[in-house]
Amino acid sequence: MGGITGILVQYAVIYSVYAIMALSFNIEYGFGGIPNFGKVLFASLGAYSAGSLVAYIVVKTGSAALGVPIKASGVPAYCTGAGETVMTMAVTQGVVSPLELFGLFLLGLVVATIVGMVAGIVASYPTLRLGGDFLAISLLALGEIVRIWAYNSQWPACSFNGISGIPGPFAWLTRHADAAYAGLVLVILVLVFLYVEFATNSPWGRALKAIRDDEIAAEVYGYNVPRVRMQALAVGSALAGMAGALLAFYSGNVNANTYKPDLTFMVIVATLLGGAANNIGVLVGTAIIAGIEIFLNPSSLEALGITLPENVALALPYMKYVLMGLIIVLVLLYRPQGLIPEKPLRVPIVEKARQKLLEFQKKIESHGL
Amino acid sequence: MPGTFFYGSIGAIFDGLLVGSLYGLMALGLTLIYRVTKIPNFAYAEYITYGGYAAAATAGLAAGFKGAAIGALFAILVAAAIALASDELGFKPLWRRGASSLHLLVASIGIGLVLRYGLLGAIVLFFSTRYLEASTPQRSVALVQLGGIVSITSAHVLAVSAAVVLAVGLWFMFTRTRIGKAMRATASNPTLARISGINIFAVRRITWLIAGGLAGLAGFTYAYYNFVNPESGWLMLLWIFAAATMGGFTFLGALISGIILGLAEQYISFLAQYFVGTGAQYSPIIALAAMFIVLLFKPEGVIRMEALAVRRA
Repeated sequence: MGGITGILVQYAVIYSVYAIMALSFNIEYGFGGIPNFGKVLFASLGAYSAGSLVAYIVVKTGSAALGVPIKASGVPAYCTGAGETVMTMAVTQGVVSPLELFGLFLLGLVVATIVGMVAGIVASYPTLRLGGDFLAISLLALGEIVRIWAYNSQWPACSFNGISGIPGPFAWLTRHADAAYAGLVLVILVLVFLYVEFATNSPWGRALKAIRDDEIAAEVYGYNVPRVRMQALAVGSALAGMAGALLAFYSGNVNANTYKPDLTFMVIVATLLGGAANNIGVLVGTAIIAGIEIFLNPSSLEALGITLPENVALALPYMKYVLMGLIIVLVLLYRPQGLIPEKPLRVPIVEKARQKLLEFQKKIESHGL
Repeated sequence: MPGTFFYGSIGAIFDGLLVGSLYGLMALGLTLIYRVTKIPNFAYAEYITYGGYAAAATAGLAAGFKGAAIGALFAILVAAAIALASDELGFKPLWRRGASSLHLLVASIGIGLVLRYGLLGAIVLFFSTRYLEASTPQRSVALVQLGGIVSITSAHVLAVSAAVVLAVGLWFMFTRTRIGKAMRATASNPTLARISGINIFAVRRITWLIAGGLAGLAGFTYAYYNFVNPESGWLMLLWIFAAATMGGFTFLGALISGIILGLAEQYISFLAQYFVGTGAQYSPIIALAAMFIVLLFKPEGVIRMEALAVRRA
C-alpha cells in the first residue's frame, strides 16, 4: 500500500510543478505568442536562488548553534559534506524550528519568484527584435548557456554535484513529510491557476491575444506591444521560478542537469497537447505528460507490483521520450488546437455586438433585402 | 627551440580545424533544409548519429580502406533514408496543412526525440549496453608528427577536404544548376514553382536526400576519429545551429563560421587550460553565446558568402 501512496504523492508534486510551468508557458505562448523555449532557464534560476539561499541560512545558523565549524575553501559551505550533515542536524535537533522552516520556505519561494521575474524582464529584450522560430532558438541557447555555467561553477549550485539536503518546509515531520508537502504544492497550484485564469480573462489577457493574432493591428489600437510582451514574460518567468523553487524543496536537491532542454520540451508538449490558450486544457495535458513521466518508470511499476525484464526496465525511461515525441507530432498533425481548444472570447461588449448583428440580420431578412 | 606553448597552440589550431570543419559540414545539410523548406530542423542531429552508427556497424565488413568506404557509403544511405522518412511522415504532411515555422520547429524536436531515444531504447532492449558507444574499427591514423605532440591525422584531412569540397559543390549546385534553380524557386514560392512546371515534391525529396547524405558523411567522420553515442548528434546540435546562423544560412558562410567556431572553441579552451589551468569546460558557451548575439543583432547572418538573389543559371 505504501508504495502506491508514495507514487501518488510523487505524482501530485511533479504534476503541480509541471502544471505551474505549463500555465506560465501558456501565458507566454498560448496567449501571447512568445515561444519561450528557455523555460528551464527561469525554473533553474528559481531553484538555484531558493536552494542556495535556504541552504546558506540553515548551514550558517546550524554551524553556529551546534558549534560545528565548516572548512570550505573556494566553495560555498553548503557544498561540503559537513554542510549537508549540519543541515540535517539543524532540523533534527531543533535548531531551526518548524515555523522557521516554513518561513524559510516562503522566503525561498518569494526570492525565486522575484529572480524569475527579473530574468524574464531581461530576457524580453530579444522579443523586441526577434519572433517565431529564431526567438525560440535563441532563448533555448540562453538556457543552455546558463546550464553549462551552473554545471561547472561552484557558485551558486555546487557545479555538477548540485546542492543536496535542502530542508523543505515539513522536514521536521518524521513521517508523511512528502504527503504534507504535496498538499501544500497542490494548494499553490490552485492559487496559481486562479491567478492565471483571471489574468488571461482580463483586458490584459485580451491585449496579449490581440498582439498574438495581429501585432500591427494591436499597435494601431494603442497597445504598447513591447511593454505587454515584457509583462507576459515577467509573469511567466516569475511563475517558472516559483515552480523551480517548489521542485528544489521537494527533492532537497538542485542540480544543473535537471534543467536540460528536455524539461522545456515536456512543458511544451503538455501545453500543446492540452490546448494552447486554454488553462483547463493545459491542466489536462500536464496530467497526461506527468503521468507518463511518473508511471512509465521501472521503480514506480515495481511499487505497483509489476516486474519487468531487465532490458525492458532499462529501456523504459527512453521509451517515455519516444512516446512524447510521437504525441507531439500526432497532435500537431491531427489536432493542432489541442484536446480542449481555445474558447472564443466572451465579454459583455462582444455579446452585445453579436446581438446587435443578429438583430440587424433579422431586420434585413424581414425586409426581404 | 619552440616550447610547449607553441606546439600546444599548433595542436589546438589543428583540432579546431577538424572540429570546425565538422561543424561546417554538419551545418551544410541544415542550411540546405532551411533554405528549401524553411524548417529549423532539430531532428537533423539524429541523422548524424544514425550515420555514425551505420558506419560503425558496417565498416567491419571488410578490412582497411575498403571497410571504411563501405562504412561511409552505408552511413550516407542510412542517414539519407532517415531524413527522407522524417520528411515524408512528419514535415511534409504538416507543411501541407499549413503549419507555422514554429510548429515545424516543435515537430522537429519531437521527431528528434523519437529518433534519439528510439535508438537508445532499441540498443538497450535488443542489443547490449556496450553498443551505447561505437566507432569504426578503422581508426584515424597520424600522417605527420610535429614536435612529438602534435599530429595531423587522416581524420583532419578527411574532415577539412570533405567540408570544403561539399560546401563549394553545394554552392555551385544551388546557384548555377537547374536543380538548384528549382530548389530556389520552390523555396521562394511553392505554388508559383508548381505552376511553372517544377515538380516541387521531387525537389523536396532530393533536398532531404542530399541533406541526409551530408549528415551521414559527417556521422561517418565523427565515428572514424571519435566515439559515437546515441546522444552525440544532439550534443553538437546547438553548435551546428550556431554555425548555420552565423553563416546566414549560406553554404560557404556556414563552412567558414563552423571553422571559426571550432577554432575559437579549441584555442580559447587551450589558452584557459595553459594559463589558468582550468576553465576549458566552459568552452561550449563560446558557440552558444556567438549564436545568441548573432541572432539578436544580426539575424541575417554575419558571414554571407552569396547574395540571396542570384543573377543567372
